[in-house]
Amino acid sequence: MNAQTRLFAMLLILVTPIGGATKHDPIPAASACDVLEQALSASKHVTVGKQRKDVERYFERDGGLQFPGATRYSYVECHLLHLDVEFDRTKNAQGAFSPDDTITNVSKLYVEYPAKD
Amino acid sequence: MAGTLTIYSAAGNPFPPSKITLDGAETRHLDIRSLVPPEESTHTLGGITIDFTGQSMGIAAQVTISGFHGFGNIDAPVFGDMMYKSNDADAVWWEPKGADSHLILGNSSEGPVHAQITFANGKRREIDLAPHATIVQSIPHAGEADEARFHNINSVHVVGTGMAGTLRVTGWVSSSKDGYVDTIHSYDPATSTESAVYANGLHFSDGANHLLVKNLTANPITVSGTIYPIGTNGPAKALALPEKTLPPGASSELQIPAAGDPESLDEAAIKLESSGPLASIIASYSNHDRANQITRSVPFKDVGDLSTLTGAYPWRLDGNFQSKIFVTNVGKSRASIGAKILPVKGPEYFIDTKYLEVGETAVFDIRKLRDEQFPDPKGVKLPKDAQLGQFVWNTIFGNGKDKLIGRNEVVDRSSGISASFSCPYCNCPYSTSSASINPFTPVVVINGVASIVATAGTSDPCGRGSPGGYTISPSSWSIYTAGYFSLTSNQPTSTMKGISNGSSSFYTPFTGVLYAFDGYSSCFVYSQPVLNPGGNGCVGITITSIDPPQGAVGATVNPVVIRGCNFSTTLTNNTVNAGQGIVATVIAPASTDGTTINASFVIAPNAAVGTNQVIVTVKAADGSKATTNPMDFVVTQAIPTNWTMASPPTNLNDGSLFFPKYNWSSTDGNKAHLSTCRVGETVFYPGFPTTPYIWPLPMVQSTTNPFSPTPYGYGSDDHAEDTNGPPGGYRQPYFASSFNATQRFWWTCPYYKNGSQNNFVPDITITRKIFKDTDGFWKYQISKSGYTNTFKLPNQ
Repeated sequence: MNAQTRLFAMLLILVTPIGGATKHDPIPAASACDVLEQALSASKHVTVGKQRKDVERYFERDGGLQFPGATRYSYVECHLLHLDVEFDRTKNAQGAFSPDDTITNVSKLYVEYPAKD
Repeated sequence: MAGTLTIYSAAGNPFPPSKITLDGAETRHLDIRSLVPPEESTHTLGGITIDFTGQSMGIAAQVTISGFHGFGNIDAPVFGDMMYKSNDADAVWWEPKGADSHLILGNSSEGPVHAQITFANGKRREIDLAPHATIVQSIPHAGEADEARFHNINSVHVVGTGMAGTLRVTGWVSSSKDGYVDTIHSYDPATSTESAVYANGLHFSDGANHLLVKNLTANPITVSGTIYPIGTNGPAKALALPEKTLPPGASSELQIPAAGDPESLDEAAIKLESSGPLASIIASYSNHDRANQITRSVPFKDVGDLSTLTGAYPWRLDGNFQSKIFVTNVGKSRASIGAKILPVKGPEYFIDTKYLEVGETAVFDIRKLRDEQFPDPKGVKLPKDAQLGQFVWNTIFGNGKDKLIGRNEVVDRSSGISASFSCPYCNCPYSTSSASINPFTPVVVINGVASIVATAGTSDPCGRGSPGGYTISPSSWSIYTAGYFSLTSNQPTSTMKGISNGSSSFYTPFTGVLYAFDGYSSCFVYSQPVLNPGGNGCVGITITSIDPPQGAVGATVNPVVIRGCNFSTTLTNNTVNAGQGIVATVIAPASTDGTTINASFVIAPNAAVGTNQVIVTVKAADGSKATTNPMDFVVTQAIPTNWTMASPPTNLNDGSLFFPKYNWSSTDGNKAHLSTCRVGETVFYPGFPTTPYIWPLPMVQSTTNPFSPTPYGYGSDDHAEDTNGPPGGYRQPYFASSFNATQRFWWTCPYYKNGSQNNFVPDITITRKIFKDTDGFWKYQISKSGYTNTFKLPNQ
């Protein structure tokens, strides 16, 4: 019995990036808004009076030049999202980036390329 | 510049074109007959066209037909159609008894043109001209009953169809009996912008003179006039012409007032004004030397167009030729011109600023300048054998409202040739875009003097090279602080005289003018910047400035540059006192003109914050000492200093170079005093200021360029860390690539140098590269300050 057969193949090569990135900073997931919402929610936990360790629960120190009295953080799930946090400098004058540094000022969440220098 | 010359027969048929290439500013005489094939030479020649690609007015030409009727010459400029605004023409001329006049009509276009000629006798003639055709039309005398006929005046009015400028009208009037030949100059009434016309370089002696005017309107008008004779020093007293009323369409001769010796009026300029509207009159002037069979006729001009503020004329001195250029200020206020003479095979001869009072004419006799070897301001002389060249002049320092006329009269009395050249240079005068004085900081002792020259920089809107600077005669000087010195004015060189120790800035009021050329025919003023050239005068032993004017407590400021005048050129003869808390030491070098010394200021950590006064004591050769005026030096609060890498970097596993501790200190030893200062970095990537910078593959990363991440640190912070990271990713296939970034560490304090950024250390280079290592693997490597970190790329 003869049967009509149709061969089918997706031209996958056309939609696959050639030599795709093998490593990359975390980028927004399928829904960018999801990541943004998560980062926004995390930033709400960073408030004046809390400590550096509270910031570093959600955010990590960005690259580039950093100071204990005023530190730039990026969201762990997306390094394009940043938060500038200032700490009580009278308490950290002797040391550096102590987890117990007290937060004195927090910026709004903002978008910027990660600092690489 | 290359051009193509095409001669046409009277019927409009072209002869084979000729190519011509002219060097920059080159002038060349061409025998028109040589441009026509010998077998064609019997043809009656018609018109000529010159085609070229380049700037408007890049090539200009004039046709002179000499030996006309065996003794005279006629001439006609070769203009582009753009020089005309209509296809109409009017002419009036002297026609001695027994003379005949002929009109030459030419069609410059590819299409037919129709011309309607109205003669002075009231009759009309309709003529059709084929493309490029030329027709000679005999002109009847004015009517028997016409007053013009009685006074030997003839005229025509021509109306043409077609595009403006396609119908060209000229002609000649000749009388063999009188040895009289003159060119009939026609005027396009549409180009008129005022009810006055002008001419210059008039010749009154050695002949009969005829000044004619025609009323072009349908109403009676009154014509008045002024003759501006040449004075020996500035303009001579102007002579008024008796007013004359002209009926509609009438032509008349104006009486020239007796002024004693006619030679006293030679080379004078003239202005004729009409009580009627624009384009209400045309005029002509001729001087006929019957004995030498030479006729000098002078074209009248309207000066409304900015192109009349420039001129570029060919001149010739071969044989007995003379070339004289006349430029007259026919405006209502003082004007100024600059010029240059460009001899063939010779250096440029520069003619510096020539101010022209109202009615004054500048006369440039090229033969005289050559024969007397009169040098220009730069010492350049015209070559003794110069025979050919160009003369270029321009209004300078004007405001677009000056009114100037110029022409070049080329005369050979022996051959009876008198031709007039009056081509604009590029339709746009030079712009005056800058001005300065030399020296900028004149120095004198008390009762001493110094010379100061103010110069304006000009530029050519038509882009024909830099015309150079022209000397300004300052009308006055404004001195910010009076009493130290005086300045003379109204001369090309001003004299500064010292009165008392001190310094002050000064300037002369001066406004520039910027013209723009539309590349075709229009020119306009688009800006008049205030330039006010000036400087800073210094008298006696004086400090004028200290740089930097401040230093922080605990800091050593080295060097402190102290500027002024009459310091000793022997270093040790200068002593600097900078006040309490500052140890000042004079250090090398000191300038050889006594205007600058250097010092080192060591400011004590406990020095008082505030203003100190610096005084220099100068010991003279006779051992006497003099002190300068005090100059403020501000001692500020402490500032950051001594940026150091306190710990070597750590190589992180992802390829980062991590510098855990950069440190700095305070000039007064107490970092807490730096709490209002900020510390930061700025990283510049390739292509700055183009942003973002996209890292070269295989590195995958983008960065704001320049990148100066916030928040900045505080001067009182304990230290800073710095992470120089890898790209966010890598893309295969791998290949070699690299780039450098420049890292700058800086600080600011609100009380220091107005809060501006100050660099801690010289810029640092960060190098990143992808390379194939000797082990065969592709790797990423970062290098900075002699440290490197290498990272093997994934998936190999």
